[in-house]
This record gives sequence, C-alpha cells and structure tokens, in this order.
Amino acid sequence: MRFGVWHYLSGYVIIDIKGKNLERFLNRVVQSGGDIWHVRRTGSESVRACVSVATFYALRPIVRQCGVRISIAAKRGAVVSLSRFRFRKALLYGWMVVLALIIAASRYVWIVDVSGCDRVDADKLIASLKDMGVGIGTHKRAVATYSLGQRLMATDERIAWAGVSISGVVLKIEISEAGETKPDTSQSTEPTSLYAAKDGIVTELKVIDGKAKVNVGDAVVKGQELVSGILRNDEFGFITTAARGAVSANVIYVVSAKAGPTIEKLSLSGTEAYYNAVKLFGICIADEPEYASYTDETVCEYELTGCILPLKAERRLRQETIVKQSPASRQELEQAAAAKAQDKLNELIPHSATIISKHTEYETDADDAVTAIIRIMTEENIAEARGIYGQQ
Amino acid sequence: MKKPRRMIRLGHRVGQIMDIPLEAIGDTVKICIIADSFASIENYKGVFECTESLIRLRTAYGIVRIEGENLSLGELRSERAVINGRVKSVAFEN
Repeated sequence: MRFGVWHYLSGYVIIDIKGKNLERFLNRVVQSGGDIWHVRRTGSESVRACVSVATFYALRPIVRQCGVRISIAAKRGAVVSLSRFRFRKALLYGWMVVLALIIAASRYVWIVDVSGCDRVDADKLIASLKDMGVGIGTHKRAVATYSLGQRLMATDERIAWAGVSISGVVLKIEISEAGETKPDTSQSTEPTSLYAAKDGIVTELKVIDGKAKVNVGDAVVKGQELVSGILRNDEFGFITTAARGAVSANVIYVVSAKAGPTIEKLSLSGTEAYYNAVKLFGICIADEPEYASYTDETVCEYELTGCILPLKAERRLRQETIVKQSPASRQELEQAAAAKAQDKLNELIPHSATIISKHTEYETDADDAVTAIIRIMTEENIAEARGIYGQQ
Repeated sequence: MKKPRRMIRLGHRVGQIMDIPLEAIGDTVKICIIADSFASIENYKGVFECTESLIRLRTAYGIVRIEGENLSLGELRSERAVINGRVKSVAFEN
C-alpha cells in the first residue's frame, strides 16, 4: 500500500469495533473524512480496522451515534515507538549521540590498505604517506587521490603506477611495480672487439657481429681476445665492425676470510629489571624499562577469571644486551669466517652469474682463529668490449 | 437517490464527444479487478455489507456485490474502496 510508510511514520491504531451497525459506522467514518483501512470481519458482530491517530480521537461522536463499542488492539508507528522513550530520555539522547559519532567518524580515514607490493615495502609506502600528511585519522576531503598517486610514484622508481581511492573509511592504494630494466641494446658505431674480463673455460659462444677467436671448451685468460672486430674482406683486405655477442665461461673464485679467536656478539651486560604487562585483545600495556638493546623473558602469566573481558597479566624480565668481543665456540668462529668470506664473494660475483658449485673449507690457526676458504665455480658472460687493438 | 436515466445518458454522451473519462462525470462507478486478488471501486456511495465472503457496496447504479474468500476492505476513502482477498465474482444487484 503506497501510504503504508506514511502511516507508519505518523502512527496508527488497530481497533476492534463491536456492535450491530458496523457498516453504518464505517460509512460515517468515511464521510467524516477519517482515515480507515484494512477493515476485515472478525466475528458476526465485530470488525477489526486500522485508523490514524487523528481519526481515532475523532471517533467518539460517531461511536455514540452508531451504538458500537471500540477497543484498542494495538498501537503501531514511529510516533508510538518514540513515545516509549518519554521516560527514558537518556537512552534516546545516548542513541542520538552514538549515531552522530558514527556519522562524524565516517568522514575520516581509519584503515590504509596497500595492495600490489612485491618488491616495494608497504610499510615504507605508508610512512611516505604520513610524510605527505595522509594517514589514519585524516579527513577524507584532505585526500587528493589523483595527485597523491602521482606523488607516490615519484617516491620509488620501482613503482610504475600508483592508484589511490577511498571506499568508506578505507584508503585503498594499488601499486603496479615496474619490470626489470632491459639492458642497453643500442649499437655502437666504433669498431670494437670482445676480450675476456676474467680467466675461465668457455662454455657457450654467441657471436652477433665479428669473428670468434676461441671455441667452446677453450681455456682463456683475462685480456685474451674472444671475438674480433676485424673481418677479412677479399675486396678491401679487411673491414672493421663493432663486435657484439656473449661468451659464457666457467669462472672459479677462491676467497678466504679469518675470524677469531674472539668475535663480536650480543652478550648480557648484567643490567636487568622486572616489569608487569597487561594484555587485552592483543594490545599490551606495560611500563617497560628502556634499554637500547635487550631480551625479554616471560617469567609468569596470569589470566583473570570471572572477568567479562579477556584480560591477561604477565610478569616479565628484561635484560640489557651489548655487543662485545667474547670468546666463541668453534662452530661460531666457522660461521663468522664463512659469513665474511661470503660478503667478499658477493662483491666479486656479478648478479647475472649462475653458481655451478660451492665448496667451503676451514683451517685453524695457531692462535685458535678459524679461516674459511670458499671455492665457487660460476658460469657467466666474461666478454667485455674494447677497441679493436685492445685499448679500453 | 438515483439520478434519472436521461441525465446519466446525457452525461455519457457529453463525455464521449469530449473524450472525458466516464468515471470523472457524475457518479459513474468504475470497477477495476487485478487478477483475483484485488478489486478497486471508484465513485461508490457507501458500504452496505461487509463479511469475509461477501462485500456489498452502494453505487449510483445499484448495489455492487463482490463474492470471494478472506475479503477485506484494504482502503476505504470517500471516493474509492479497495477490496483485498480472493475475489470470485463481481455483479450488480437489481
């Protein structure tokens, strides 16, 4: 019924009408301009109907004239519901305050959602947003989504595209990361030859321009010509070109590093303190002692029983740690020496190299220091372009 | 009091010439039935009888008799009455 919503908002009453002249009563109500609907017979001398509140108050003379009796079966409507709060104003005002707070809070950003991050660190992105003045608690109107995306792209060259949108109270940031940069394939016009940058054994030869001077399986030394840019020509004697190609070879690296007899490691300074912490829904509140570096240990845990909230209390021990030279075990010395040797290797071996094999040996010196010797064989491109006579 | 037939026919004639809906002229009753669950009667004079299986309404053309099951007066206004329920027949009584 199209007036149903209006009737609910303005309030109506369901009445039972009893008597003999029921049809007369209905006609009188309609003629007086009253609002009556859903009239249905409930008995031989009774009818149930809905009337508006104003009509109900105007029924008295009609009831007397028609000789019927009316009784209220139910009251419906928003007006009736609100009237129940007339003695509970605090509850009504409380609901209004809650509603107002929800409406006010919905104007701010409360969640930042970052998606599409693979190499780019999402936490750094959120920190960049904070520096731009956008974060949790920012008013939605203060977020210029288009320009924010442009500024985010400028913070990291790995970001190819950044899209910012607001959905409800969530600030959504979608990132598309740029692919790996392609190598420069521009052709040089100067005549060049390819020479070996390192010693190795040739495993693969790909010549695009020039003449190969070595074969697969040949051992080459650093500085040896691999692909020549000088080509023999019957007509002109010889012509020069910029040699291009790739020469893969197995290269062996041998690196050693020493560690010991003492190494730097985290040790307890001797300063410690006990403190208490309270946990509720994963949020921890504690008066923690401040140390630059420390370890924490939970001594004991209590769970409060008989409490509605899941409160937990913990007694913790915080011990300060410092880095100092300490005697170490054989295993620790080997690990430290191997780590140093690996760092050296990382500087020597190019990223594009493929590691074929790796072997590590340890030697103990007279002073109980340990030397780690790492031998690695890689397969990598050792060709580098130089002038046709070997000049750099 | 019913209008004389001559007056009713004159009103219809004027309505036809001027393309005016017949129910807008005088007391012409208009009955609309949608499927078997809804009946709307315009230009009725009053409720004559109202039960679950029979509703009779007074009009300028006599009494309109609506028979069915679970009948109720969904809307009752001065110019329009709406009947809800399972309507089986609508007829004019002499």
